[in-house]
Amino acid sequence: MSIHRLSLIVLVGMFAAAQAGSAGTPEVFSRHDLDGDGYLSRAEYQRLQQDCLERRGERCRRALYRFESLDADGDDRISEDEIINRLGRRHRGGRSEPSRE
Amino acid sequence: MNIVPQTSRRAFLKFCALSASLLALPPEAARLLAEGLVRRGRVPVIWLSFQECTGCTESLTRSAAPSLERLLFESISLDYHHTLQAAAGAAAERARDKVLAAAAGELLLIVDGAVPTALDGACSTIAGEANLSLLRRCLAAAQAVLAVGSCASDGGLPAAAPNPTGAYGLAELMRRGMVPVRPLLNLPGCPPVPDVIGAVLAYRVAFGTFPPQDAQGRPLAFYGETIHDRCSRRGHYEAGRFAKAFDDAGARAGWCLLELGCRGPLTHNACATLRWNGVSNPIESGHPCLGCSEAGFWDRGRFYHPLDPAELPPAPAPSDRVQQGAQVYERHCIYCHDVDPARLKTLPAEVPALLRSDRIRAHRFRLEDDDMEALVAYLRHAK
Ligand code: SF4
Repeated sequence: MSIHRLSLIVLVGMFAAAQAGSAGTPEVFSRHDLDGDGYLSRAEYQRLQQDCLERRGERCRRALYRFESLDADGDDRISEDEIINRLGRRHRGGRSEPSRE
Repeated sequence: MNIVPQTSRRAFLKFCALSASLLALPPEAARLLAEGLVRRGRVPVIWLSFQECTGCTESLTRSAAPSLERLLFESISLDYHHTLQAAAGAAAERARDKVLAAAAGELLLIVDGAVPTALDGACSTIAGEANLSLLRRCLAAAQAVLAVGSCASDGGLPAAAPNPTGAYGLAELMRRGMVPVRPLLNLPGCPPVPDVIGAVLAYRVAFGTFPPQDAQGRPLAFYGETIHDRCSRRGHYEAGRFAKAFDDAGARAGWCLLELGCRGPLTHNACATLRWNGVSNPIESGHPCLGCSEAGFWDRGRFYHPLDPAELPPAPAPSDRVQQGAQVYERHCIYCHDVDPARLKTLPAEVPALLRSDRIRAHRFRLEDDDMEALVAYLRHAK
């Protein structure tokens, strides 16, 4: 099986898992989720940005996506799916779907 | 013309919070923005379209949730706009002239398209009046003017060499003394990002002034950084991975498009951070940045040819594995893990296997081997 085919299967599995996971209570996926509700709120994300700036410097803060870029559904909080999809897209050159190869 | 029903207070406040955030304003500014929009009432606006393709209007009207243009149409009174108005013919021109008289001194003028000056302006007329003449009359009544798109900002395509119609953008017309001078804000881009148009309009209506600008009259909040600064392919650039052809393996793997002519390193705009409708931008769709928000981009060398290396910002030494690994950590791991990698429980040597296993959903990225090795080197260094 080619690497491309394998990665396609993994990615399709990832999307399926994302769909299935959205039905139940979200699990805490990030240590920056301070209230443990399974999402990064705007305040929690700002705190992460601030942390990056103070402890790692300007380059680190600039490497982070803006809150709005991650909050794809506009509900004012960032879910694990939204982060996975945004970072996954970065690795597919911006494509939102796995490539059909 | 009121073309939409009243939006809910919640949607309005959300719009204000979003706009304040996009404009990089401090947290309390969302409240001030909301208060300002309510207090100032609906500002009279005339939108003129000259030598243009209507892409700027398309961009605005196709903006996504929370439907910025809808919210804005409740904060402005859009009294004249070729494409959006219901009125036509002499009635539309009369209505515009009425507004010019009634709202003189408080009017916000928005212009897309370049203005032809050759042949006495005969190259583009509206209801028999040359664009330049109409612009002069409207500017005389305007409090300020917003140049939307590259054509209005610096002439754009109509002004490309040999510029047969003598087309200019607004700033150049003012500089030459051909039109009345008014406070001007440029939103170049072909077309500009819709959220940028919305946020800047909201700022103007709420605070009665334009946001801070760069030397070319562009709002710093949106044009302060280059596409390259925030590009989703930047990691590949830093690691020296470049697509050589549009259909090669590198292009399919999302590698940097520099060698296919990307002008992202020299182009200031918000495409990489905001995207169209929050969805995508040319680079994310596999096409190099053409640099459309930089003045004279049509005449700045051939498209699809690599930039002169001397123009590029310095890249970190590729031999610095720890630095490369630190960047991988900052671009991926930091969203879920401690800012300090020394606090990671997983041993560095175990990271590749964990990342490539299916055990943790958020780890299912195919990091390039090179990036993975650099990450491990960095984690070892940090422990
Ligand atoms: S050169 Fe273009 S594609 Fe490559 S990282 Fe910079 S902006 Fe992105």
